[in-house]
Amino acid sequence: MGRLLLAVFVGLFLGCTKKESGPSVSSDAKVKVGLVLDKGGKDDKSFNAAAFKGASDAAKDFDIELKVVESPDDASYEPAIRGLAERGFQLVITVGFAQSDALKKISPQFPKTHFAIVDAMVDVPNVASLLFSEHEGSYLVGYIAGSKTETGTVGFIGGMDVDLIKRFELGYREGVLKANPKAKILTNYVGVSSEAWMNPTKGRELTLSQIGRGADIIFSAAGATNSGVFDAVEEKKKFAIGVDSNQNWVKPGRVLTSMMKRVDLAVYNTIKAEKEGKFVWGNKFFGIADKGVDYALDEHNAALISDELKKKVEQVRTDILSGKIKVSDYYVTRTLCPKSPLNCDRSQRRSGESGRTTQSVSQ
Amino acid sequence: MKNLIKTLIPVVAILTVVTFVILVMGDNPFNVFQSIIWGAFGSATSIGYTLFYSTPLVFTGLSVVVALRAGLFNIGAEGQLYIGSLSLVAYALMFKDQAGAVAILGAVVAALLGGALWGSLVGLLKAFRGSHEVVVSIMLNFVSYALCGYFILNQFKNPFSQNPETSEVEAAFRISNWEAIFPHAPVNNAALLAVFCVGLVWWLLYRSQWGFDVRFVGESPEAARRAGLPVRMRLLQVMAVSGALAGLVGVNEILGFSHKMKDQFSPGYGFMGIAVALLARGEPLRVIPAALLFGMLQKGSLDLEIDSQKMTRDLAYVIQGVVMIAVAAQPYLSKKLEKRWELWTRN
Amino acid sequence: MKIVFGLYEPDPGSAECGVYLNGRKSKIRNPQDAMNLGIGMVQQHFALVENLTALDNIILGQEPMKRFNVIDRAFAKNKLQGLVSESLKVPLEANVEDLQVGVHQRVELLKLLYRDSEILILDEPTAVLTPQEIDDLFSFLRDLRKEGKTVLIITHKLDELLALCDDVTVLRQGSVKAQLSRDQLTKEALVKAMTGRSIEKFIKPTFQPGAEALVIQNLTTSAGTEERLKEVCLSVRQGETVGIAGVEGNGQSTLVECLLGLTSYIGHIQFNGQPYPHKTKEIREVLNVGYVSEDRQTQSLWLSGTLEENCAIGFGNRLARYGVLSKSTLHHHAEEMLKGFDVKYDHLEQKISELSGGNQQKLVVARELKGRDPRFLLCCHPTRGVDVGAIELIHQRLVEFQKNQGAVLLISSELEELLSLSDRLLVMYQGRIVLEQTRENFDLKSIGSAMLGGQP
Repeated sequence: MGRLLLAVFVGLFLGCTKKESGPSVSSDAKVKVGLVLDKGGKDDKSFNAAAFKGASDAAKDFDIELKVVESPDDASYEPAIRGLAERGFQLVITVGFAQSDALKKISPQFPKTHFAIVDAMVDVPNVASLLFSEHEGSYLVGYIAGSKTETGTVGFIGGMDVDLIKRFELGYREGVLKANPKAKILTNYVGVSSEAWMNPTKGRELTLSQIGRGADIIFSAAGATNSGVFDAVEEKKKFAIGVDSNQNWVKPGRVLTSMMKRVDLAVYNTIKAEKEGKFVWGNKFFGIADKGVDYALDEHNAALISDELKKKVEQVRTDILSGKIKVSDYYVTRTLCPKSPLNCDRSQRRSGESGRTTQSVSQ
Repeated sequence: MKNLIKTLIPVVAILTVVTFVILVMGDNPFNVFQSIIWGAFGSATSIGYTLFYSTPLVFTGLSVVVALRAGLFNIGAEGQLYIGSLSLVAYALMFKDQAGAVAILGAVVAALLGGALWGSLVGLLKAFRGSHEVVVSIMLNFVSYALCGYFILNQFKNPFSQNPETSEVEAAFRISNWEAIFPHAPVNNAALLAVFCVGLVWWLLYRSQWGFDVRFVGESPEAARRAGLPVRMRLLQVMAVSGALAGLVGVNEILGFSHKMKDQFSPGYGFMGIAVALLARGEPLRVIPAALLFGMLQKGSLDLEIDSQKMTRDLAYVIQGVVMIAVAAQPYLSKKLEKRWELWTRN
Repeated sequence: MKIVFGLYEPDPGSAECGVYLNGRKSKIRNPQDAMNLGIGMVQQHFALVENLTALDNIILGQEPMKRFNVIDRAFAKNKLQGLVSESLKVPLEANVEDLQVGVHQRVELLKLLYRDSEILILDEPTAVLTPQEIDDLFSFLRDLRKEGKTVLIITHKLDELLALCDDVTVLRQGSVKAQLSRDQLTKEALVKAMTGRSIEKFIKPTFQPGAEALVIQNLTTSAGTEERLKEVCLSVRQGETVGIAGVEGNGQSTLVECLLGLTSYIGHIQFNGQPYPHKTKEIREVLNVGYVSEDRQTQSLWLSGTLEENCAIGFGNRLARYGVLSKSTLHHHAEEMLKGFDVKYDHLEQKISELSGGNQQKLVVARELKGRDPRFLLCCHPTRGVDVGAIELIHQRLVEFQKNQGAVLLISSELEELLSLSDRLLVMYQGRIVLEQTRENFDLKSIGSAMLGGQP
């Protein structure tokens, strides 16, 4: 057996004797862009899919060479990013906050390579951090939910129980309460591990439970788990609010609107900047001003959003931009009930108290 | 000459099948092999990564080997490595003030104990309740995932990060990387520990009374029972040792690399350990080459995905599968071949 | 034989080597080839499907088909009826698992006849049969001979050869030692050919037994166990051999398991006046009970281990120093133990599975008698499947042991062995002791009928 293995190695080595140096950097002047996706992969119909779409669109519009790598586990972020950088890719875009450690470690080793990361801040002079003001977008859809609810109870379903999604929740809460100060808000999280993004069964169960407790509109920020939420609201004739992409088309008439987080736009713009030689490192925020986050309005939900409501929402948008309405940011406040603690149930207060401010993201 | 042919023919067979698969996929086999080999051994850094991926496979491979020798199929190395890692990180975070060798030694012992505890649960149920170890250990895997999730997020959560991971362990608990030889690669002293464990397991199995009992129980359980051996006790102990070995994965991952425990950090090291153990045919010394082969494929396939347009890293699984089949078929094949060879040389 | 039946392939030899059938060299690569040539074999361990009927077992693999692939059982039955003589009656519709061992063998034979085999090979056909069943089998085989079939029988029992055979070929260590035809066939000639020397008829000297060593009172096992024991009482004195006869499966194995601490029981067992321990470890290591098992390959030996390792079984605590078993200790221990037991081996690191059955058994007896030096030996089928030379040696060692005031409980399926070794003989039938005779008044007829459940 030992001999067999040895022979495998030797055999494979012999097959490679022609190789004298590592894979060489191709000589043509095409800009080479690498995209490292997170665990969900490019077919998750959600977050990673959006990043993939942005990169593919850019590859169509500009003359670039695009290489997409999927990472099935934590251990492969590092070698994937390194592998792309070693091969002379000028721009490497990493998707998801889970890759921040790997990027923090590798980016200083390749100072001439440009990196970008979605959803996390990496403070290195060759890294662009692409961040979204999820709380503001959530405020808008929260306002819509608060205005439309008939039972006075709305729901929120988060995917993984992490700060990023609490940011969604907090913005949503404030939006709901702005439209309907007496509204009751139910909250559930699908899980604590990355499995939470791909668990439609549990999404459906949580939705049914919230509907049972009186909710008639449910905002679900849970990646691929959302499909289960949509099934449940269709079954019970209630409404859901989609997330990340425009998901209005998934169950037309049952999806009130979607909180769009334009990861595709961010990726596309970053590639465009690289192509034009205008890459800038540092934090880049996408908010409601540049439609980096927005609520979705199309033919599938036109009947659900009245002109009057639309006008009100636009007013809210203007107020946020002008600073008249200040949306609390969970990254700053570290508590889910900064304004009216009495409206929070106990568990949420507890999680708020123990939090501390670590990353202040201010406008 | 005969031996050479015996060795080469399975290799040729493996290469042929894999080449065929690559051709069907429409890629150039030469480039693909080149990419895998270059990815795994092309630079000091790549070799460092290959060694880093092989280290946990040595631990889990040994874990499965030990159980296998007692006639038990430990499919729960995955759960045992998680509990071992959890104990390790719990120790390191709760006793922060330790310094020097005591710190690392304590953490290693914690990992051993955690894994041993999880393994001996299987052993207890097997030895005293007659539950099937495969069923029990699969189910305990899920329990361990949940337990780790709970402790990582509720007890040891890193407040500075959104990732489901624990806080970082103090500097005293970190073991050194081999930066000088393998720059930027995470390979560390845990690799030495792995080699040491291989020797230790070999010695235990072949030179100690305990190993004598274990092998006897594994290969002739009925005779062992009738000879008055403490069969149940040995089964329990074997599972504890098996679990402890799996638990050491945490030393490589946490003390040597990430310095914190990430939820679900293992890409299935426990399950790959089964393949490693079978490839090694239950011999502790062969675990090292088998683990290196799998580590090489893991690292090489990642570079393959970057270099090749059509192949993805899944080719690594194809190769692993073909190798396993070749290994399983080898006794049969080599017998046939030997006969052919004899006929051929006579005429 | 397995080569003839195509189970093993012969190593390629010179052109003249090979299996010749009616003067023609035939190529037999697998059992199917063999069957097509009219060769059939009954293995020592039967190959029957327990939960099918006897008929289905017989036609399995060569089912006659009606239209639409329906099995034509009626046709098969008719064909069988033509074959079956009175001596070979089998309840065709009964499930095999409900039939007795002797009937299983008949089913196997019918299987061969149904396939029109001309040459029948039987491997140790009498090992599991009672004396009456053996007689039936032999008369049936004689009938077959009259019909012109060829019967090849493999056995190590001399009486059977003398009773049945026209020609005898003696094989020893893989080569032909003698070929004897009917008129040369005598017991002495056979023994000489088999052992390479002549042996005198073995007569056991009588000894004066001492105090009672093992006393079993009202031993009963719970209903759940397969071979249930019912109120078994027996005693073995120091320097005495007590034999237990009986058709296998009548509670002997359960009795052994009770005495090894493997099965729980009701009743009392005492040894030298002290209560008998319940734990296997205590029985084997503290009380130091010697045990020769009924199936040496699975119950006594570590078949994939070396000779050294097999010699060390049960002595781990004695041989290890601080938990370490050194190579040299094992080696010396094995060397010492095997002296005087005539075990033939190449070297001590050889795998035990490479030894013949006789040598394996001699090693077991050496380990349990010489290595252990017990006061009580639980001895099951000590010479099963063993050559004549080994039988002689094992019997001698057992007698020596008894001479040194050792107590022996001997369980065997070979009546001859029991009769020649036992001072007292008990017969077990369906979990009870149904007959007890002392050496002076052994009566073969009443023992035989008691084994089959008849009134003595």
